[in-house]
Amino acid sequence: MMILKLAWKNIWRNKRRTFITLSAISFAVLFAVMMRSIQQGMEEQMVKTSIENNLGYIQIHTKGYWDDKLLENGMNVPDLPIQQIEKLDNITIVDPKLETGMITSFGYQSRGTYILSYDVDKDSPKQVRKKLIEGKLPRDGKKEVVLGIDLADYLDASIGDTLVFLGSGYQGSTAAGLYVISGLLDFHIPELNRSTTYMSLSSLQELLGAEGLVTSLMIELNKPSKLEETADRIKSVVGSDYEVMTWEELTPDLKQMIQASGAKGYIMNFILYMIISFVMFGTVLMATQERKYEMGVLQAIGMRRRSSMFLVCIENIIISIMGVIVGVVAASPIAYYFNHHPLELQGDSAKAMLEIGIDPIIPFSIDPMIAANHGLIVLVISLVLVIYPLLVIKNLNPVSAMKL
Amino acid sequence: MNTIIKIAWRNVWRNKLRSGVVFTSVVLGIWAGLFVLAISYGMLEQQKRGMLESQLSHIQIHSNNYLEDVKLNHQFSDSQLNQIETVLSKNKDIVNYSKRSISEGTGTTAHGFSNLKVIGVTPEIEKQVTSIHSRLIEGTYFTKYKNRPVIIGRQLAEELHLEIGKTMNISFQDKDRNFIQAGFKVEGIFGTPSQSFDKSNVFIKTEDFTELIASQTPYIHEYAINLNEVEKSTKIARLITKKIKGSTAQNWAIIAPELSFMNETSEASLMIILVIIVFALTFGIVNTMLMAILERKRELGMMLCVGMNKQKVFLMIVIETLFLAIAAAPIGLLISWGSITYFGNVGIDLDSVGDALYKAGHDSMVFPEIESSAYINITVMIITASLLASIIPARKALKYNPAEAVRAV
Repeated sequence: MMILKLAWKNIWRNKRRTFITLSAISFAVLFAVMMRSIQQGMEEQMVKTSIENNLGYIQIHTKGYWDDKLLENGMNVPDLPIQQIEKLDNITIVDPKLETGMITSFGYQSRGTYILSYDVDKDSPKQVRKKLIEGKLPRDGKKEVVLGIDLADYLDASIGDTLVFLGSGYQGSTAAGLYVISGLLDFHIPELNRSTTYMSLSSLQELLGAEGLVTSLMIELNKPSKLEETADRIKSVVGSDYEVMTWEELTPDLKQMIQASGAKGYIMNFILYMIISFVMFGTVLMATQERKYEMGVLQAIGMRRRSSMFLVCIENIIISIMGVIVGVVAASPIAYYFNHHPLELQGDSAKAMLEIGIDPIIPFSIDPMIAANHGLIVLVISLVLVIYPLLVIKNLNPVSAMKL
Repeated sequence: MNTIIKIAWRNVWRNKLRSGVVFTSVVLGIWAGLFVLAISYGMLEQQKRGMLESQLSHIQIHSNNYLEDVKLNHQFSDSQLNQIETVLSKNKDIVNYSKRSISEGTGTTAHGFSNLKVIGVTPEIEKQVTSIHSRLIEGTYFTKYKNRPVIIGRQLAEELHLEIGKTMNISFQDKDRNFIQAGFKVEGIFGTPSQSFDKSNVFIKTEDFTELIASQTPYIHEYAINLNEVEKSTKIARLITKKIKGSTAQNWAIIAPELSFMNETSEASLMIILVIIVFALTFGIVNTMLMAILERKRELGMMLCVGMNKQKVFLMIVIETLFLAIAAAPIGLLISWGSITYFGNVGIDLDSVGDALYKAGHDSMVFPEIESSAYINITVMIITASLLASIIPARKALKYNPAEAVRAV
């Protein structure tokens, strides 16, 4: 008990030393958390961008649709428990979607295109509107479409021109129709610009001769980090006739890209941790040197080695825990601030990111697990480093330690 | 001044432990900075090289009509072809080149369709220019099937449920703008680092291409050229353009601007990481030196007592750090060079780090490499950072009261 008291007093006795040691630990936590926040923030940004391009965090289809995207594998809207899903936790939008492939032609040119529907009443027109660079969205009840700029370019068609759509409709019928281009879209992704057409859900259902048909329910989430739990909950609501897929299953490529960037992040973090550990070690080393005299005195007046080792141990544990807490507390508002006011890139980098369809900003992630994980890692490192002062005390010769 | 330098020098050797910490900090800082750069740069270069090898080549020539509007009948005229062949055969920097016919088309199977760039090639020649044949995951490169073989990408195969030996219908327009459709047998499936390339590009034989567009002679839209050195591509592209009429040679950076963009995007995040590392390191040195000043309180107090003025003490501490930083720089450089060279040969397997899972066709190995100018930049940066880091503790030392400090234990 006396040792505890002594340790506490020691910490406050030499405030500068305590402050230096503590700041080493706090900054270690701060640096590690910042680094990871940036990395994870960029990953989240990548996911968000792709999800916005008509994927959704979770999709529901009839079982088998994803492997074989036939209209006959679609779903009938009245059969779907949309309201029940909407009531679940963490769900912001449930958006019925219909998509199919058709041939579109204008004059001599023709091209395959994916026609996607959007529900005029839901929030999704906002996302389509964001990509609109010219013209207007199709008006309700009119036979109008908007399409990717590269597709329009290929067809030599522009706003006001009438396109022919031809393909197979629902249950083997032939689908054909004439639609006027009302606007052009730029997704910033060449593949989408080359192949995407949008029309309203009711128009597309009419074209395909399939009233009430949708191929998927697209679900937006409030908290993307709770993806799996939410998917599980949806699964229990919709039953086994439907497949519930998360974006990770829908676009394994994106998942891979993130894993690749994650793997690179691991290496970077590892290197950062090497530096952090060394900084902490350097601080502990110098602090121990400085206290040699004091330790010598303690031993000279009869304190047992074991007791003084225990003393140093306790001091270090207290300082480490305080340091980690200070670090986490200091990191949180910074991450929070940069999450709401992301770093904005300038110049060429900004242009480059816009070009591939990503906003040129780096938001920090505010996932609380980052602070928890890295705080813990730093705590472990700093506790391991206690071994050094313990070794020094063990081999201390009080007589020479007290010589200045 | 001489005395100060001498004292600083002796101080460095007197307390080896303290010197060791600062020394190691600088070595570690240089290594960390360079290694992080080398990994990022290596990844980018690899991706770039992969793209150049698998599809772009170093320089491409198209007719000006074609560049303006990608159409089947915007091919090279006979006189242009002759002219280009003469120019290419005379240039010694050109290693090899291939002629390609290109058409936009649509590939269809029972499972869906995909818009494609259909590229007609002469297999034996194309093999020398691009590396698609060595990136096959399955199948062969135009050796097995006699009748209309096609080489497709992994992504497309997955999408349309295609396997080796299965048939895909490809439709496009012939030279008279008639809509035509023909079945092609999948002979090979390739995987490049670019998924969008794998999804939308297919290769067929030039002779099949020519036959389908109902022409007697091949329609050539593109020359793909490889040089002995990529660096010469801008210069030689300009040279070729001058000598040919009605067509333009472009180097890879102009054909695929996203490749140079990639550099820019990753540079931004790299800078942030570098800043964090340099900060962590600077902070480490500040911390160590601060602690050292604390430990040396008595010593510094003594110096002040015997009449050394404060500026000199300040200078002494800064010079000590300078000595250590200068001594550490070559060691740091040596270790960096050694590790970058070693891992540059052996590679770092990203699969073994984290939970990354790579499918076939994906490069999971990273080979760090770096421009030699980076060695100097990083070293200068770290030495400057460590000198700046020594100023804070040195200033602290100035505030000591000699009478008190000399009694400190």
